[in-house]
Amino acid sequence: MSSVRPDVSQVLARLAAGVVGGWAFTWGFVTLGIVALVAVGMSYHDAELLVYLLAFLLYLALLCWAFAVRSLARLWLTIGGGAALMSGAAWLAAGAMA
Amino acid sequence: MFATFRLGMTWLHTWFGLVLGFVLMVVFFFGALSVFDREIDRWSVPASRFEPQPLPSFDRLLAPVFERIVPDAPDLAAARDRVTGPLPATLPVMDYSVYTTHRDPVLQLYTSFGLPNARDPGDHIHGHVTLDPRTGAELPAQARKLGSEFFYPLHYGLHLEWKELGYWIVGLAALGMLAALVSGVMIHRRLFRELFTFRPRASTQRSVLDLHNLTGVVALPFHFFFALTGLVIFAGIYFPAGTTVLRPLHDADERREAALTGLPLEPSGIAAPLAPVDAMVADAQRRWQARGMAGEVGFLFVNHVGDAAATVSVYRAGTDRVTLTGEGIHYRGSTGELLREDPPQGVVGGINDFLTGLHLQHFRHWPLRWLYFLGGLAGCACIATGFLFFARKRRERHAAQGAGGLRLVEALSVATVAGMGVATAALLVANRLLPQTLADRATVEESVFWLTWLATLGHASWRASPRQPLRPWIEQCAALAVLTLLAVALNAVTTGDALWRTLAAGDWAVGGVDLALLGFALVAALVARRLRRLERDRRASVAGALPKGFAGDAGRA
Repeated sequence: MSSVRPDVSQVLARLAAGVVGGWAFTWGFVTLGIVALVAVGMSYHDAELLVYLLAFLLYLALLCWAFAVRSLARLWLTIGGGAALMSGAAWLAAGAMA
Repeated sequence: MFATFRLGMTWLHTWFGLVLGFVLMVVFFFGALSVFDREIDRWSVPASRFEPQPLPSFDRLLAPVFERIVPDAPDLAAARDRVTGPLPATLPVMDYSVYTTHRDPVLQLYTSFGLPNARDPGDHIHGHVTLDPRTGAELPAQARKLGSEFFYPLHYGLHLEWKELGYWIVGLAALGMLAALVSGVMIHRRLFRELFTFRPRASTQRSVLDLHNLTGVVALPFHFFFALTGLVIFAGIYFPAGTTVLRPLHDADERREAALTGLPLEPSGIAAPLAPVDAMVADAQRRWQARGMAGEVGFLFVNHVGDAAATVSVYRAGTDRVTLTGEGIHYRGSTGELLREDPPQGVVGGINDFLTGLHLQHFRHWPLRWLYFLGGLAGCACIATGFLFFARKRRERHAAQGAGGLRLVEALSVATVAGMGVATAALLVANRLLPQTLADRATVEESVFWLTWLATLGHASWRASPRQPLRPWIEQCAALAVLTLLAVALNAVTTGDALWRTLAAGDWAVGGVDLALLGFALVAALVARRLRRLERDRRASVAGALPKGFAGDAGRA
């Protein structure tokens, strides 16, 4: 398997998508998740704990997926789009709820 | 980018494993040592070699000590950059806390101090002392508890405090490790069979890979669990939602909680003395007993010290269960009247307390504690054999191509695995040799550790040669064996606690550390011997004179 020689730009693009993009996507999940759970009546503390328990499994799945998915465009669109949508929604909702 | 899914996973496993392996080795090794941090504390601070004690009287013994605590000097120096004006000579005291476990002979006392004119209004710093609870005497500040104050923070933060950089590096490594575990499972078709496969007499490359798979697979659930819960424990650092975008939500919930519990968030500004705390502790213990869970105090917290809004919270030590709940009982500080008993945890909190409790292990269960220790070391073995496999697979090809990167990888591997052990053993030797009265003792000890580690990297780069690639490994393993033996001998000479005496007296804390050191010495010596034989065989085979009955690594890979 030492013949595996992916080109550097591909690796960097996937690494960035998995690590940085994955963090941003998970951040969106964490903030939106807490907001949603608080909105349905859970205490902030419990909501935070529950979301944290799931967050790293999600982050891990994203990281692995970044190296498994074929299309780089689809990877970046999903991760970037999801991160932006969820973070934005959480930010707006938190402002409205406070 | 990869022809198949498996090739993608192989790439992920190889490179995440290699790059993050250097960090993970540190996390695993010092995590394994942290399992016995309190025992290493006793080994490194001879004045604390006595039986663990229950919490002594707060009113008679602890209160006067709390009043003497001043901010830790490095904390105070760092805080000067976080305030807009000059700091007053004495800072306002915010809270007192004292923490102990069933493994602590000595007590940790902490005081928080507010920072007037701080940019962040909630900003504060700490001061702490370590106390002999039998007499109330403070342990000298230069006596560094190596287990809980040096190895343990190294395990989760690498002692890189700037911007919490160490936490982020460890977190990234933990995430990468989870990815390496997942991809490792993906690239192994016969996972179950590998549980039972170790061929120590087969070709070296084969037995190194067997050992890598064995240690990786046997302890897989253990390693997955620890990396994941480690991340969850510090999730507030990695995803600080409550202190940033969700701060309004978080603060609103905190105020609602304060109204519900009757535990004020802010001081009233009216001075008031503290009622006898011992009576509150006794009352809390009666209440635990009434619930059928009599126990010792593990954590005591006095909030808003000296204020009419002061509260005293008493938490139970989690000696007898895995989960981390403290059954907190809270009192009004000025009167001693009961304010609140913590209700049973909800489902989410209960799961979280159980998972973090399983990681942090406050419970009393010595066989399990040793299994944790061995699980951590199995992780070290998995990473070390991964390094060896990586290097051996590429050595000939890179030599033929004239590529130099592998030499750096090999030097880093030697320094990360063997060199880290050598530096740790050197630290223990320094701990026994430096005079107790030396003013900068803790700093000197730490310098010995870091400089020795750096020296092992220098040694590994200097002694490695394409003709004898294993020489740095052999020499550092030998050094590790000698230094660990020396540490055991010095412990006997400088403290009189020779191994046979501590074991005869039933002092398993100090005797156990000595025993573990002897175990490390034995393993290091065996590894050095095995590698030396390999190196000899290899040279012989390179010279074309293959010895009779040779079962080395040349023919059968």
